[in-house]
Amino acid sequence: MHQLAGRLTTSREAAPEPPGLGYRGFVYSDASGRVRAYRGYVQTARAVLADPTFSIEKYLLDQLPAEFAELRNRIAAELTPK
Amino acid sequence: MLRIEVDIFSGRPNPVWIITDRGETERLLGAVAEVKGATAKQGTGFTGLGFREVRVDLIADDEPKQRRVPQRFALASIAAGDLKASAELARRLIEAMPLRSEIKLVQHDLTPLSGDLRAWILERLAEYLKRPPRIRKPKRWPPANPLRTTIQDEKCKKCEYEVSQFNPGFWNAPNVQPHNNCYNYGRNWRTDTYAQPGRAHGAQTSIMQCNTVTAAAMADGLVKRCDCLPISEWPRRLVALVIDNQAPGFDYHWYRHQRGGFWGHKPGGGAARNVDNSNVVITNPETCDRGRYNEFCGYFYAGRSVVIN
Repeated sequence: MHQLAGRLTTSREAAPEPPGLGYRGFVYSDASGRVRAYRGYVQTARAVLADPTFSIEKYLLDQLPAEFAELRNRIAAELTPK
Repeated sequence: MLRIEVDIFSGRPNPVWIITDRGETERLLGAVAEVKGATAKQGTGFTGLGFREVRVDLIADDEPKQRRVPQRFALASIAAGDLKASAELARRLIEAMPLRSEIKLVQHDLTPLSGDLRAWILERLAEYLKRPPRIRKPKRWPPANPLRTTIQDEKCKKCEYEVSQFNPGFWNAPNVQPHNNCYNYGRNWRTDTYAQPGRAHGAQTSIMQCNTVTAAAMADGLVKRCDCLPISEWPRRLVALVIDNQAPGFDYHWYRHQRGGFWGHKPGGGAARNVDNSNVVITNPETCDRGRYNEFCGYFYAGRSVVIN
């Protein structure tokens, strides 16, 4: 995760606002605080990073436990720029 | 089918069991119907420590209706018109408590049914009846609350419910928001447990479909719209249930009618709001932008006796 995040560059654009209902990204915490990866942007406490290849979201999607297999396709379909 | 709960404990779960036997169900409901003043509304009697009442809930929607037998009621409550007769029915129920329930409920982990427990409850009931506690009646009901307004239901004029001032700040505090979801918001009860329909009553479902989530929520005490709730259930909420039903059914979501004619909701651990996925104020949960939550299940009332967890 740190390696992937280390390759990202700061975005000049604001991260897109997730909708109320539906896919709202992956939320995780690291030493710097709470992070949301959503539709190609990684919002940390300090900055917004651009992730045009969805590397963080795809990596996390690959880690989905087997019991969430039905969600996998649903989320994969969401990994497109908004 | 009947759910029986002896309301007696304070910390550990109350003794609970399910009566599935049709004959036993009919015998009990028949006996209740015969005695005028046998039943009371749950939670309206003694509310202190010790034996309080025996709660009976009809948990199927197709039990034959009997005069004087509501969907949920209390026996041996000091609010009952005829406490002596009501307590006798309660005593018979407790004596018939199964020592090993066929249906394993979450409450049985900490409160398993046993002969000792049964004898202890009967002892407490006898003590309670020897000197029944008194009810302290509230001076005014409902109490004044400037944040709530009682309105007539426009879909069924005979029913009323309460709408509250939209107050997202309550829900969006950092220590509240992540621990409370749409069901908490709909019921307007901050449990900090990410409440699930039915969980408080051992009736949670993992199948995210209209009928299953409806059944689970109704086990918590929600009733369908137009089954009017009495003023004793104040404050009564009008809520709406929708489902993301793409096979096998992904999720459910609840909305609550607010003062001002719009609807509020709280998507998961996100912020409470009154707008839909298109950022439009929700005036109709049936037609608003709900993303993939495309199945509208219906409306329900949630009164004060609805317990969620």
